[in-house]
Amino acid sequence: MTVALAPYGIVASLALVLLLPIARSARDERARACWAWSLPEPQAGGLAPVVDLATFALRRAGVGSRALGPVVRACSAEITRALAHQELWSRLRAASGNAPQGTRRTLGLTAIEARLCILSLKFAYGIERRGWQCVGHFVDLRRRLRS
Amino acid sequence: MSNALLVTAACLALGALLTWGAWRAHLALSAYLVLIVGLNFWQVTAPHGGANAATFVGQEVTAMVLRYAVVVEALLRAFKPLPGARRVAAGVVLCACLATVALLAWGLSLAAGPRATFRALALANGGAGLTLLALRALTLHYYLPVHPLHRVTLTWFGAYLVLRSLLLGAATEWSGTLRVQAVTVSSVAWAGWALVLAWAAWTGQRWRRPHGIPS
Repeated sequence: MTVALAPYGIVASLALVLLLPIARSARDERARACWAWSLPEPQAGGLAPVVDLATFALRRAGVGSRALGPVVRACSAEITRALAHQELWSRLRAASGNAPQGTRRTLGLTAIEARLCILSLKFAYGIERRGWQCVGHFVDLRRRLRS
Repeated sequence: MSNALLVTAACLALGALLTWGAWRAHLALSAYLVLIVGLNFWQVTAPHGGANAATFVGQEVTAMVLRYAVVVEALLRAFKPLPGARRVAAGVVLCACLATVALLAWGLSLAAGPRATFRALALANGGAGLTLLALRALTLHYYLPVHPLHRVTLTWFGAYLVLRSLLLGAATEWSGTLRVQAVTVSSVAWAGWALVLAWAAWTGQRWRRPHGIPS
């Protein structure tokens, strides 16, 4: 009887092994995702490539040429302001502890690219989009840019 | 009583999914809910309650196919933004399926006879649940923000399936009052999961994609 129940014991043990870290990590998931997509950091090469990318994103989002200039300028201004506030940036990094880099590393994004993507979508649609949609959008953009 | 609770919770979840159009975010899950509601209505209306071993096994096998469809859809949708992570997740799902088959073979070798079918169903439930939980752990590993409906499926549906596996196993090994209690607890757990899903679908309306945003 005891041996016959052994498979259920394995199922229960594996479930516990998986559930414990899930319960511990899921609590901070939202905050961590927020940090991952909003941390600005200095980037070599200036803002020109990302401004081009933002232009592309906004055009694809259907923003007309007339509205494009001010929107891109607003994006650039916000990023420049964020970069200028080194103290704020340091505090954000310190507050986030181990800055989560998994998603960005997987995509090969810099934080500023991710930030710009969010800003572009936010301006284009007038709302703050969820991170996962931004990621999908951005992967698509990168694929189109490289092709 | 437990049947009514189960159907009520399932109808609430379906209602929430349909009201906000959230069913499009998880087609297999919606189909699974429709199947559960349909089967339970059929059980109530069928002669003799439709309650016999052959019917139960037939229902469970049908539901099991949809449960694995839920696993595959959750994998494809939750990991869509990250192709590299999706390859790893697909490997994990494949390994989990192979491990489930091995567990089934081992479990069946330990208990031959009429109880073997129920034991197989219980372990297959456990395998599906563990696969969902493993996928959830992977989304956390990759810091992948997950759609609320997929989060509920991966975490709560996974946990429910593992619990159901243990309860179905208990119902197979035990008899009398304990078996009835195991079935009741399983129904309550199902209702609890369905209510969490209904809540996520209802409050998740703010995540709906506005008109014009490409998928």
